[in-house]
Amino acid sequence: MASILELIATCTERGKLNKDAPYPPDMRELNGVDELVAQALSDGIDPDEVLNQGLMVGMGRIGEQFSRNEVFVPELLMAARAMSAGMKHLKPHFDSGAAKRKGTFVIGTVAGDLHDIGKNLVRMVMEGGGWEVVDLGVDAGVDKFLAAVELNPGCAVGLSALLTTTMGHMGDIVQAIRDKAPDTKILVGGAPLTQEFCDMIGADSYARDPQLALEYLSSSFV
Amino acid sequence: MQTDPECLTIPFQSLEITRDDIALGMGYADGALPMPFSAQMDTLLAQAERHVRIRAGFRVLPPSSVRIAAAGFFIEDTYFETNRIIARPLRKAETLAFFVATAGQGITAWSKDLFESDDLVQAYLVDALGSEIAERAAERIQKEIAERAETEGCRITNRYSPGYCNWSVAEQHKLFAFLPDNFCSITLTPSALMQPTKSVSGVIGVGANVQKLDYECKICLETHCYRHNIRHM
Repeated sequence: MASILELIATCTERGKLNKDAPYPPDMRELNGVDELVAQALSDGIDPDEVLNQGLMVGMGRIGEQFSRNEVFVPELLMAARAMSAGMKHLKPHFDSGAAKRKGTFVIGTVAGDLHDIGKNLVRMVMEGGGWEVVDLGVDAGVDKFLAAVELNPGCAVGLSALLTTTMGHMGDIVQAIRDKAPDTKILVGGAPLTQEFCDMIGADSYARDPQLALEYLSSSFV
Repeated sequence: MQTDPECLTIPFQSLEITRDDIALGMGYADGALPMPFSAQMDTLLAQAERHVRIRAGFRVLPPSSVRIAAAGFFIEDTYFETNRIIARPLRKAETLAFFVATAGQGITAWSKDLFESDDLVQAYLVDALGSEIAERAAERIQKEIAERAETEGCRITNRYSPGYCNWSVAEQHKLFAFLPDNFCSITLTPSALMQPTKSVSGVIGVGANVQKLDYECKICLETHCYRHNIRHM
């Protein structure tokens, strides 16, 4: 019989929110992330274990499928939503200090770009991964990012863009953050981006999908 | 050929958008949008009419005001720096048409409402629908321009938009300067983004010796572009 952590991982991966949720169709009537996380905590399993060996494993699996074009944004959103349902149970433990927040992550879609689906997905996955997220919204310029970095010392920053012409703004924002807070970890993401572009503008990491963003930051802030 | 600015209202049903059209834009193979997303998309398509206000317009500029350069074009004294990728297919144009198309503000508000009520997938599906509507409306206006051009023995090129093929989105300000204020109810933010969000603008070449390619991305080597890796993130 699968362990409860494995069940949490599977339900997260498949986007099974709770027992009443009709999605996915082949898991009707089964408990979802909501019930399983509550049960795991009442069984005395450490909240960090629930997060790292349950929820994050599931998100990791769906993230890999997304990277391979086996699933697309709707499936990823369902998984992120299921993860959020689990995080509601974990939040009191983070707030009380029983489980530790991993850090603060400032994210925004760069100036000249109004596309926010990808940015919102990353936000959800980062929150699900135990990060405090400061969302600057869309069309965010240098000043907005610098103000957020100043307000949140030690934060990591994520820049998102969809358009090839607005990703050019990323370099200016990276440079401005480097000038002000050189040690800040900066991730970039969005459909037109590549590792080469990330290297060219001096960002720390290119996150092809939300899960890679979470994995990179989680490993960088251990 | 030249025309005054003209704005058309387009009925949603006339665009004949199917769930598979939208699914393709999301990355799914034809007919592969799984349940329950396919059923959700059908429901949203049935509700779409009351959330959209589709308008599209164009202006064919006086030929005497147009001059095509190696890496852009002039309208009167204003230089549009499109780069060579776009300037090349326009080079034989006798004149240019500027166009805009929008799905209207309502569809963005609809998506936002769904997002705020935690219905993330439906919010995303509506967002994808909005993108498809704007593109289809642009297609419709392109067809309108083609038909007008044909009556004068002219053909048209593909349509090219600021923000793509390395044409800076900031140049949208110049383009809008040649259209009436609030044309088709579309405005620009200071950072050159269109409101409503689900809008498209651009240029089309018109002339006896221009041609329209079947697949517009053929002219562009920009492998970073999301249209080469379409997921509509």
